[in-house]
Amino acid sequence: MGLYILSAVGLPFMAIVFFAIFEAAVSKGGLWAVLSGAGIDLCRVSIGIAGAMFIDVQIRAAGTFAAFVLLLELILSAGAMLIDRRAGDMGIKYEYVKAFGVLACGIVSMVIPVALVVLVRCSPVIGGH
Amino acid sequence: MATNFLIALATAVGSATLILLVLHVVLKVTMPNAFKEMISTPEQTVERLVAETAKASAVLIDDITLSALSGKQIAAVLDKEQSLRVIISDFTLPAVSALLNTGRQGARATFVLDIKVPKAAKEKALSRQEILSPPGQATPNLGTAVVEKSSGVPNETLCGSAC
Repeated sequence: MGLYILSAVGLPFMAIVFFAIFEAAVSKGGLWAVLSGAGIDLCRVSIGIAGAMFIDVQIRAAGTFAAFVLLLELILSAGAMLIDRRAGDMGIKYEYVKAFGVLACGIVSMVIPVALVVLVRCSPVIGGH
Repeated sequence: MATNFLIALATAVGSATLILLVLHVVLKVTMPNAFKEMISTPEQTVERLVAETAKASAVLIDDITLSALSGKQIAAVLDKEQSLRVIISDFTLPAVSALLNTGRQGARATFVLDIKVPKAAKEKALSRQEILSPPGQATPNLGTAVVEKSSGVPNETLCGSAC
């Protein structure tokens, strides 16, 4: 279980942290632009994780559930993109509020697959293993 | 299933809050000034771009027109911080000859000079020569001269005046 989460979520998350630090070191953009970019990247990676987590999970109505989770991920990604591009129109005045908003969407969308994987695999009724 | 999903959602929101809180505290301690940055509105961005463009733009004028203008007229054409770009194609014109101070009558070429016109030119009625060669400056006002294109002119002609 731990290794499964580490390989599916932990490593991509660490890679994004690495690239965010790397970009902060070399990018001309400010700190908040780098964090916003990291939030968008988290959303992208989480879509991939959500797709991979249903590869061998045997639950009832798996297709519906997978579509639901995937659409939730897409909605969160769209929300992150919306905050990133339309922060001024949404009444957000400070850069850090925008960056934290995008990051919040990214982290929530990243953690949802992890929590679902843990819960589905640990549940004796619906778990596949 | 629904319970599991709600637990997963709560876990996600909770962990996101925790991570963001830690990040917020760390950044607040390490970079407190970064939290004061405001989002620039599209209007502010456009105003900034227009100001930068106006500052960067220069008035382009050819040597024949330059010869026909007085110092006051040259100053009237220019806005604040604008530079004057002179396209020179005929070195035999007196104004150009005085500007370049080359003494090479009959040389022909086409090149562009960027000239920073003194701010005083807008306030006082300076002569053309004073605008192009401010007082106290031994050489003509070619400190920012940039030769963009030249042909058929000996190097010493350009370097002797512009460099």
